[in-house]
Amino acid sequence: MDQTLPFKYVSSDEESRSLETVDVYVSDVKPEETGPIIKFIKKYCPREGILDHVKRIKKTSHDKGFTLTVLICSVESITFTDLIALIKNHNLNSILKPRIQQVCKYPAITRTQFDEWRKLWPINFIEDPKRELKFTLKEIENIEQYMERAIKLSIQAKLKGEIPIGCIMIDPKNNVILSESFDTRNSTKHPLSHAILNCINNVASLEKSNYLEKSNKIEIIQKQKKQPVDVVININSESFSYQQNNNESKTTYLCKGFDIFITHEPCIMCSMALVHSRIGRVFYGHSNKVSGGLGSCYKIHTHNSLNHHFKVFKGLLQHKIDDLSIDC
Amino acid sequence: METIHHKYMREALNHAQEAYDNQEIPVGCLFVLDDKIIGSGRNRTNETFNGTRHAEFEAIDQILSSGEYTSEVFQRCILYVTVEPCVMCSYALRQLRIKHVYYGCANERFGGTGSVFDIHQDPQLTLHPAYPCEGGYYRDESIMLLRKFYVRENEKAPVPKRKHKRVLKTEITPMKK
Repeated sequence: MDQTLPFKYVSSDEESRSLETVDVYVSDVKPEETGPIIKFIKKYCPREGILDHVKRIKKTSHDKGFTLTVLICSVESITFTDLIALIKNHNLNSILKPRIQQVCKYPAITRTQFDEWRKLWPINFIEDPKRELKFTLKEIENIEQYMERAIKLSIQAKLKGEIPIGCIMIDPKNNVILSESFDTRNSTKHPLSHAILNCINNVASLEKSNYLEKSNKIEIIQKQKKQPVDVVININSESFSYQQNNNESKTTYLCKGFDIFITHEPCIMCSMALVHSRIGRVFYGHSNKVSGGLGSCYKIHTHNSLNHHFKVFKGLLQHKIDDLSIDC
Repeated sequence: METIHHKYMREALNHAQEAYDNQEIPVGCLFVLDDKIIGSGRNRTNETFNGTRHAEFEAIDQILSSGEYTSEVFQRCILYVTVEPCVMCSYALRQLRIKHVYYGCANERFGGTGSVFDIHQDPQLTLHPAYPCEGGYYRDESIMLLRKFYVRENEKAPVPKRKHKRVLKTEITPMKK
């Protein structure tokens, strides 16, 4: 990332992991012998999917030209004695002299990993364009303004005797604010009235009332005009335009594609609530070391077995939030 | 043998069935205090347009809004739920300091008390005490209700899937231990 951002990307364990290696058998080969050797390896040596990210041949340039080294298979899959016997059986013992070499164990996800790990042995790398984390200056300005509002909400909460955590949910497509909320555990005497759950509940009520309003309209129109369905859809799409303040749209489903700005890292419960709600992105300020679910205790937003992943950014306006610092 | 836990789980299954009958993911639960049911709930995520309205949350809110109990009550409550609590509910229950949880079948995709994470007993979470959680009560019935639901089409999904080719499986593999 070239850009200096006022927040930090909360990467997955896969993205932030450092080099781990696995032992493989390799052998230097002459260029003219590579063809039959590769054929032999593909046909007779154990194959493992886990090494799909590793290249078969390494080319090392030096003063006298270059050396080709071929990867045979992993040390785990066959013993050295069995491999030697296999090579001998195919009369390749004069050209294949296996030795052990380390290669990287996992595919590289970031360019930094790729640049570092390829030094050991060449690997494949396909950069995911969706990983590109670039923001325009205008976006950064908006992001900071939204967090300022979340901070104001947390101050408001504090003045009302609540735990000072504020949050705000927006639709980044049109910058419409969908809900502003804060923690209400104290006043409601409900230990689960966290800012995020309150926010999700607000958005759900809004979506439900929009839906009911819309279906009432369709019903009325159908009764008045008794028109076939396609005409109803046309009239209905007009009603979207004047309902824009309510952020009505055909594709609304839970909090899909929305951004949330919250002063403190969501706890595990709220982090999973955001998965269930299909949130788009999360920005938070202060990390929550005792129950945080988006970086501190767990990384729920990137966990492999969960069905929805999202991007998380931390440390936004943290200096302002640290003054309110509490663990929740 | 039919234990007291089976008796309550049978009742929780009735709530799961009610969810199924209302086009909701069939999960039901109830909270028991001193051998008395003080609240029950079932999934309402479609009805409420809210992906967090799981059976446990419905029951918790019912108990707290009744005015009869404060949130301390959960420290003395046993939860019976037909499906292993998800990650969200697992930590909600921990915050409520629940006494004990019994569930029907495991939740391989979202389960927070053994399947995906061990939220109920993770020692790094020091704010609230760990709680015991045991599965396998009317497990087959809980699984079959879920399977019946998932062969049905869900018109609320962003892109509803055609499922006319799906067949209801009745074989159930033994519980992992």
